Amino acid sequence: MGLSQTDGDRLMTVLALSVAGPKGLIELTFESGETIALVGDVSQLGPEVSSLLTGSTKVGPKLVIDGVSATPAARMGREMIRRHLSMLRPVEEAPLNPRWKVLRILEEPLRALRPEMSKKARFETIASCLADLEVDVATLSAMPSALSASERQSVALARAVVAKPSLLAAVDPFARLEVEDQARLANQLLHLVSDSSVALLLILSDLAMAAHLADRIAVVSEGAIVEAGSAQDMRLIPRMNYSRMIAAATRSF
Amino acid sequence: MTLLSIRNLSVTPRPDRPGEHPLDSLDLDIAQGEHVALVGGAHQGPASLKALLSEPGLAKSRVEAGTVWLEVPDQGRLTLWRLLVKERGAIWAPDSAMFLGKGKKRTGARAASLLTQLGRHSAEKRLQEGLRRFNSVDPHGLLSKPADALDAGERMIVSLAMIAAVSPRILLLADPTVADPVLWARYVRELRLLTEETGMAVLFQTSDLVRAAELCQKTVVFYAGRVVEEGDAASLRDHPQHPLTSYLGKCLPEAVPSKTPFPIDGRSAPTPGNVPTGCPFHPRCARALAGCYVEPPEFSGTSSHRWACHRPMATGL
Repeated sequence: MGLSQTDGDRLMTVLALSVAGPKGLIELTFESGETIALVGDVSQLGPEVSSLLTGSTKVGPKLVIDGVSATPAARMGREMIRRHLSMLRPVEEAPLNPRWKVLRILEEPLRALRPEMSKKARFETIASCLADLEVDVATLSAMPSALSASERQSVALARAVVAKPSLLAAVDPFARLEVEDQARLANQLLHLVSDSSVALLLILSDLAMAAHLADRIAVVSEGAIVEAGSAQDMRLIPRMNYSRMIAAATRSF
Repeated sequence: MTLLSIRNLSVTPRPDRPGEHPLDSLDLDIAQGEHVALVGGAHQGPASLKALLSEPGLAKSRVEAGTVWLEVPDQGRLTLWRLLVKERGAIWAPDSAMFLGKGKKRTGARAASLLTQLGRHSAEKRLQEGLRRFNSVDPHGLLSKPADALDAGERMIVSLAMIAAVSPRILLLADPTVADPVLWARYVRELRLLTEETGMAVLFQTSDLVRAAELCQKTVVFYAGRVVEEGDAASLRDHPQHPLTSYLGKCLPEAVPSKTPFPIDGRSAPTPGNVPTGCPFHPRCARALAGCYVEPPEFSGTSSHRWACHRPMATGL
């Protein structure tokens, strides 16, 4: 996929995200196309990441892209964050306007973030994005209420990545999906990161799924990272007591 | 002792929920204290069963054939419709397994408003008793927090206390209950202890065979309104016989090496109007032969593990 024309051929070098946990900042640095999973006690972190986008918290969370730091306190910062960060939420919170057809839902981020695009270019971008995610193009003319949970989550994912963000933050994206649909979404996410330079931040409690998708895993307990390592290490030799507890309770370890 | 017995039950489809498969000649026995997992997607049959059990008044008119009865102490066998008159709260089907939902309301008041069958005052009292049972240090403080402020652990304890407060004869739970593996392990343990004590039976609707085996003794797999495989939960997880069960097992992260795609087939289950002839799974089945297109399969296997398939996994290709 690569970055869009307006960004030239610039390769994203540094991407760092800090969010405020109850006990100080959680700082993550991504390499291009890397997947990091936060597991454990993560229920507080989703709202923190979304506060970056909405600007509801002025201090604390920030996003650093190529050494340029963006906080939601300034208008420029908010614009930069919107351009580079997008979110995928549980399917029942998917931001799909019930009165709009899927096409219009997917056009919305392009209209906002790539206003220079012509209507035709927008449609082509959307169609290629759907093809990448193996979603039927016929979905475009449907209303969200006519779609199954799995299809809705696919549309939400397409909406999140259609404008080619640098970082996709997926907060509990598998919640309330059946295993078959979870598997479909996992395949889409794997395909997405292997095919483009988008970095993926997974925030979820399911260690088995995190270990399946992520390069690195960080275990969060009481709002702070207690252990971080490669996904492989975390499966085999969890060091901290809390990580051991999670690993022991997770079925495949 | 059998608590709930369903024999040869068929129901007509609900016009208001077109995606839901109606039940087709269902046989199911549930013993006291037994945990049974209903696997295969809510629309494939579990949702119809849930509607039948939790809204018997509405569901009665749709039963085409078959019998349903419950064994109630002191009253003998009651049909589902009689039960509604005699004993409210015998079957409880909370909308979502973590019950509380969001809100700024006090947790105690929010929980009590969901437990209408108990009445407000006794509901809060019994919730506190329930919380003490699950070793909550400060039940009163927990109940006076707003529902939004609870963390996952507290939410789980409150939902368990709600189950203990209602203590239905049959509890219908829907997955996902608890995502965190540490909490899930505790949830399973507490629910087991509670059901051993009260004889409550649990029907757990999920699509995860591993979770099913962790919580339940028995698993029933539905497809297009019919049971395709049922039996001991661990043997369904480890040695599935129906290709659908085997497929569901392969969609779990522990079944494939990390960073490799899951072997999903990209097709979906049929809608109620378009169930294929023969075995309903044949269009998605890699093992299907000519017979599967024509003849609906009969059950084979043993009483502890049976499957409806012409070419079960054990036969090889």
